Formats: sequence, C-alpha cells, structure tokens
Amino acid sequence: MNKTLIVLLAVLFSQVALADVHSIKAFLADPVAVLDEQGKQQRELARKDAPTQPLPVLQYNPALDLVQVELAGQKVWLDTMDVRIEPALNVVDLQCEELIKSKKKDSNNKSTIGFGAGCNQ
Amino acid sequence: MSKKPPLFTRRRCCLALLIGLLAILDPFGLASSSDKASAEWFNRMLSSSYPSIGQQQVAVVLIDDAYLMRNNTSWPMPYGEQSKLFKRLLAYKPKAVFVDLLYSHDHSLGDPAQGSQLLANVFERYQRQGIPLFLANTGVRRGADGQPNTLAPFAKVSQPAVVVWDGVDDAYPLAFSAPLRVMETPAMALYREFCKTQVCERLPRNAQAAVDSPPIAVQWGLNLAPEQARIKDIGDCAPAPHVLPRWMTQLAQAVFWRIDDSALARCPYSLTVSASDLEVSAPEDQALIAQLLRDRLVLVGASITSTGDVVQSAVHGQIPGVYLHAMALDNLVTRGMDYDREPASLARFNISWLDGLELGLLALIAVLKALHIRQLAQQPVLVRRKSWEARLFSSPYPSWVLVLLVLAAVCGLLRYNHYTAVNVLGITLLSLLLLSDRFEAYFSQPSRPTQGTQG
Repeated sequence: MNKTLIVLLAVLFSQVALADVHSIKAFLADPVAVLDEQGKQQRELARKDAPTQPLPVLQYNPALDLVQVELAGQKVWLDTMDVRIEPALNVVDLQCEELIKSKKKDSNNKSTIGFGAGCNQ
Repeated sequence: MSKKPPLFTRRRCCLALLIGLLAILDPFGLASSSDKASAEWFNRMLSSSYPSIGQQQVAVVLIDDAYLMRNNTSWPMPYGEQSKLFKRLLAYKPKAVFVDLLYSHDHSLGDPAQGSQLLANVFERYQRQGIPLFLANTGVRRGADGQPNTLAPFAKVSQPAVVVWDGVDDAYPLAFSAPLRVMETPAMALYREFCKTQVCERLPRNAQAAVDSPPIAVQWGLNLAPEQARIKDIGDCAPAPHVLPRWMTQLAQAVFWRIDDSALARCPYSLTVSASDLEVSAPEDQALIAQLLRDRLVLVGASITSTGDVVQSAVHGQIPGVYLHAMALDNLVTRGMDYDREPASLARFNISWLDGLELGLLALIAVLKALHIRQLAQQPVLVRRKSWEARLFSSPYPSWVLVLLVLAAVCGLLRYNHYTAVNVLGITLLSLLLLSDRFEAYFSQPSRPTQGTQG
C-alpha cells in the first residue's frame, strides 16, 4: 500500500516538475540576437545554426523579458520574442479593448501628472 | 447729352478701400475666425472621401493608462518597462519607427541597474537590424540655458526628428530650421524612409530643401482602417451618417456657432495598436499583430491622462498629438509632394495672395450689386449691350449664380493646384447681399388679411 502511494506521488510530482521546465521549441527570428544580461546585443545566430532540439531555459528575467540558455557551452540571454517557449512563460490574450476616443474640442483637463514615490526620484 | 454718373462715387471707393483694409488687418480676428471655420468645414467635407493609400502604410502604437495599469507601472515608464515594449515592437519588423516621447531627463539616476542603458541597448538593436528609429527632438542644444533635449545615450543610437516648431500656424512643416541645425519633422523623416523602397516624385533632396517646401495643410481622414476591427472593439465608433444629412449638419454647424459641433468622428483614422496588443502570447495573435505592423511606418505615442500632448483635429476634436504626425505622414504617402498647402504669406504680414483673391471676389459682389442698383434706377452702364445688361441685372439672381459659379471655379482651380480653398462660407454669405432687395421686398409686404368674419 505504502509503495503504491509512493509510486503514485512520485509520478504526480515528476509531472509537475516536468511541466515547470520551460524549453525553447523553435527559433522564430532569423538571425536570433544573442544578448548579455542587460539586453545588449553580443552577436547574431543564424537560425540554421541554432539547436534543433528543445533547449532548456535556465533562467527567466521578467524585468527585461529575457531568457538564459546554454548555447555551445556558453550561457547567453535571448529575447523571448525571438523564440517559442513551451510552456509559455506568460499568457497574454488579445484584449480586443475599445478603440481610443477623441475628446470634444472644448474638453478640459487642468492638471499635470504627479510622479510621487513610484518614480523613485 | 447728360454725362452718366460713375458706377461708384469717390466716397464709395474710399469706403471699399476701408473695407478691404479692414478685411486684411482682421480687426478682432473676425476674418481669421471665419477663415478657420470655413477651412474646418471644408476639411470635414473632404474627410469622408480621403483615399486610404496612406492608411495601409501607417500605424500608431499607443501607450495608454490601461497599459500602465495592467503592467502595474507608472508614467513616465521605467526604462526597463520601455525596453520590453520596444523590443516587442522590434520583433514585428516595422519599416521605420518614430517615438513621440522626449527623453530629456534621466529618471534612472540612482538606479543600480542603470535603467537608461537598458533602453539604449534595445534602440541599438533597431540600428543593427536596419530599422530606422527616430526620437522626438526639440532642436536645441541640451543644457544650453536649461533647454531640454534627448539624452546622449539615446541620441547615439537613433536619429532626431524635430517636434517643436513655430511660424507655420496650424500647418505641419516638412522640416524646421532649429537652433541646433536644420531637422526634418517625424512625418518627413518617415516619408523619406518610405521613399527608399517606393518611387516618390520631387522628394526634397535634403532637410534644407524640405525647409523651403511649403508646410502641409493637414487633411484629416474619416473612415477607419478595415483591419482596425480585427484588434479593437469599434462598436462605439459611430458609423458615418448618410452623406447629404451629414453635409447639411456640418454646414449649419460651421455657420451657426451655437449649434453643437462635437467631433464628426470619435475614433482615430490611423490604424491604432495599443501597447497591450504587443504583449500577446498566442502564436495566432502574434501573427495577427505581425500582419498589421510588419513593413509599416510606425509611430509610437502616448495618451496618458494629464500629460497634455493633444492636438485639435477638424474631424475628431481633441486627439493625442502622435496622430497629427501620423496624419501628416499619411498625407505625404497618399499625395506625395502634391499635398494640400496654404500660399506663402508676405514677410512680417500674415497676408497671402489668397487674401487678395478673396478681396477680388468681394469686389465682384460689389460691382454686380452696383450694376443691379443702376439697372433698377434705369441708368444702364453699358452703351452698346443695353439689352444684355437689362437681362442680366434686372433681377439679382443671375448675378448671385454668377458669383457662386466663380467661387466654385476658383475653389476647383485652387484644389487642382493643391492649395486650400478660399473662405467659401464667408463669401457665400456675403453674396446674399446681392439678394438684399428681394429680402427687403418680401419682409416689407403687408400681412395678408385673414379670411372669415368676426362675430
């Protein structure tokens, strides 16, 4: 009974662990920009020279939306827009929000935006 | 044989001279206001038939309050947030980009991550990928007398497009001789990029030649891009009513200023993609955005409450400033160097030959009125063509029709030569003076007695 439970739990957690591993399934851009951790371009990688096998994502930088991978034994950063990552790091649907409207020609707003603490100045 | 009196007495000539002088000197801005109302009316009338050639080449990416709230960020956006936005845009491969944001003050000071460099790194990638990037520029030397302008790290990785100018009234210049140097405006800079892959006739050789070209009298468009409905809810963008009632309403609004003249259209003409749309993750959504932005001339602007960059559109009312650049660019793409323009004014005076043309039309009305009065007094002016004169001037209607025909011909001729129209509304209203005796006669008639008997 205990053994069965252990096996079941192991299978369950391995699935979760597997699902959490993001990997690059395809390179969309050609060439792909190879970046440093600040997003500065270091070099370019032609799509034909890119790995064809899924490439595990080592790290994700949400502040810059970059992923770290290992290419030819070297850790580099790639733009998430240049690759297809599965499972997706962020899921954002098309909002289909209302189109911006103009204001009447006599509309008024006598204020200036205040920066406050949010700007860290 | 008695000598015929002249058509105009000396006093009347003096009066005409005085009226002409007043029309030119524009006391209290009466003539200017009337000119502006007429120009706006004309702009609205032509907006529905404005061709969509440029609309297919231009797109606006708008940063709005909703985007800031969704990303839990602030305005001005931290450089890290901006770097994400611009790298997303880069992935959609636009033909060229203009950023209508002025990077004049570094708000990353004290930031260990050196935020401004994060954005400069992304802008550098545009350069590497051969996508021209233009940043808003004030045209002054940064720091001189406290003047703001683009920060050096951004200036290094972009090209300037001047967004501050004067001396052209409401028109949009192609370039401006700024204190720093002669610079092209965003519309002209992007049009030059467009012309690298298209045949553009009579394109100014350089910025100096562009300065010498007349500014654009921007013609606004009305109908939304067909692709707009694929990414936005356009249910509230009221469909244009039928042409004839719309024209009549617009005419009434242009003449009678007390009638509500709210915007003809509330939604912008240029294809608009919001910054949030660039974040989509599904491959099919990304493909849709790519379809809309790839190889387009893209202008990035902001519509944030209380930031103040709004312009007045004849068709829309108040609209974010980036749409003025987009519409001027649209005019250039659609009409090339045959865009609408106003004639150059005399130095030191805001007077052009168009004013002379309007005075000529007023003089025509005065002459026709005088001929009509003489005809009523049975004192014809023409000796040989008395019967013609009697036929033409015994009634005021032929003169009135003649004035309207001349006005239409002048407008047609001006339009053919890409000039803005004369003050159509003002001259049409003044032409009603020709019918003044008919109005007087009608209102002087005694009231008809009522039928029936009193009990």
